[in-house]
Amino acid sequence: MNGGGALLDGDDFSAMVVAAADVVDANVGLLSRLDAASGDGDHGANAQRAMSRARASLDELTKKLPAAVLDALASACAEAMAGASGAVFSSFFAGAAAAIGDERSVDASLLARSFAAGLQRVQQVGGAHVGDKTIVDALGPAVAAAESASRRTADVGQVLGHAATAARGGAEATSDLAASVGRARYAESGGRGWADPGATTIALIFEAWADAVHVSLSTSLDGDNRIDSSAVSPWLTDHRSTGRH
Amino acid sequence: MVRRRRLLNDPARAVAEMVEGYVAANRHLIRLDDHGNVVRARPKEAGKVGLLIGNGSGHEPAMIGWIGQGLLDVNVPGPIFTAPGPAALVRGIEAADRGAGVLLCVSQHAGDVMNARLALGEATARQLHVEIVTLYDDVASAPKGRESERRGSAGLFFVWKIVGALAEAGASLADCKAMAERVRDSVRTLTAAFGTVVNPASGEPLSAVDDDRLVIGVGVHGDSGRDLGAGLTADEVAEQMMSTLLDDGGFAAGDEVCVLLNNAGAMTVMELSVLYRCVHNILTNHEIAVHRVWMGPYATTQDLAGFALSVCRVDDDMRRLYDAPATGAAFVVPAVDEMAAIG
Repeated sequence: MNGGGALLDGDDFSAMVVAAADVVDANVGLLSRLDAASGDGDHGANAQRAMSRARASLDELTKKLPAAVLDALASACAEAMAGASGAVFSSFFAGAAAAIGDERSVDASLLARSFAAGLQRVQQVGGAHVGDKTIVDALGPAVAAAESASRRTADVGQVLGHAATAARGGAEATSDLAASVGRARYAESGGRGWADPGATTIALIFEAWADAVHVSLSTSLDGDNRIDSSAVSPWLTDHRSTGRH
Repeated sequence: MVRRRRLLNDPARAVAEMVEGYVAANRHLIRLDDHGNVVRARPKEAGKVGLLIGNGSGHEPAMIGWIGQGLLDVNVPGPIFTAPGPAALVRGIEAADRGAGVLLCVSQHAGDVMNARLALGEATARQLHVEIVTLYDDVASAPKGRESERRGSAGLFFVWKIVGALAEAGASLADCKAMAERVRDSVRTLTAAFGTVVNPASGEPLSAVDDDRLVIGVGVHGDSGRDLGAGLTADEVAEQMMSTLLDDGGFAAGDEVCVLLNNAGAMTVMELSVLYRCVHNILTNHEIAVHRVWMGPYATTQDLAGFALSVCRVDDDMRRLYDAPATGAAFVVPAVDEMAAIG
């Protein structure tokens, strides 16, 4: 982190990818259990495979620009997660990368705009809206919170923190919904009572990003620009109990 | 009883090891290229349309068993029940390209459709000549009048066979795509199954369905359907399914059809034969002629105790292509003179 929490460079984005891979590793079982309620029980393993590949591919990047790191994450999701999830996850990261372009560092405003561009691409590819019990239920609120925060603060950590809180709220709200797109399940009412696994993964990733930038801030700046810790919900909550009715 | 245990090595390597073994066992017909595509051992002649499909694994012999002369050119096997990603599909398109364009066949499921669209964008940017055809046949997945929202199921095998023969004969990409749509619009399929299966990688069941209950309208992943309860006879099930299929497809006296009774994994030949006996009688009573019947495991969902019943209306063109020779690991149609010899 440089410039008082105002900019994220390629190394910061690499640290965010590593943090996201770690959090998915720690939650494989949870994600697969959620997927078993509304899909075929393999989202945890598929997400883990993708994030591991993304982490490994960081070493192969010649230029560690923010967009290059996000593109590597997008490719890993497209090919190693694959399926419908791979298509929408990769679209989010690739859309964000395209918005960032050749910039060497990303400020709060560009970060929020890149998330919005990512969401737009997800909706172009998948056609889902908020309320369909998909990753859009986490991404929609996260993008809105990031855009709103970026108008109030230049601190990228705060923008990520607000996005993470909103993503978690959106993901948890999916447990009240029945799936209306994707594989409708024979199991009672389209997975109602369980949070959407893809939306939960998005919440975990945003929380890990906020934590990674938070840690980076507190170590490099002696906590001067420490973001409000209440803005970052802990990712180690018991989502099984929050997902049940 | 759902069989949980799979005789595998590392579940994470199951798909790769399966493809390796299947290709080795059928090396006279297929091989694995450097990119993980299953391709013909002897490629189609240059100047003919290439046919490609990507699909989630776990449905074997679909689609690795359908690569061969008179059938498809390239299969891109994805992870278990998960469509392959766009880069894998683009490599498949390149492998299928014999200079006359490539038809990317898509069985309509969210992941297959999204990844095919992403692949189309990338392939077009690379100046590859490719068209997508979206295929569906499962009447349980959307009501009559909204056919284009339906899922792809076992009945798409009529498409593979007929379009495979057309491409082999040298038809253009536009003609192959038009024929794929014509066959798609002529097929109606319903599935039925007892219970569920486990995901071979995780060992976890795909859904919680009681074994005793027969569910009609199950998708290719054992999902969603109408519970018919326990105790129905084969004839009762066949009658219900045929009534829905004939009505939905508008099949009528004077039509000629081909029938597929596809074993989803664990049905017995006895059960399928008893079911077909009833199907045959119903068609005869409706004065619908039966051209040919396939009965066997063409597209499975692991060891699901279920089946798909498909009816496809055929005209003269389709019948001729349907009877053309084909040689895949899972499906062979002998040359015409041999057919004549066996009647």
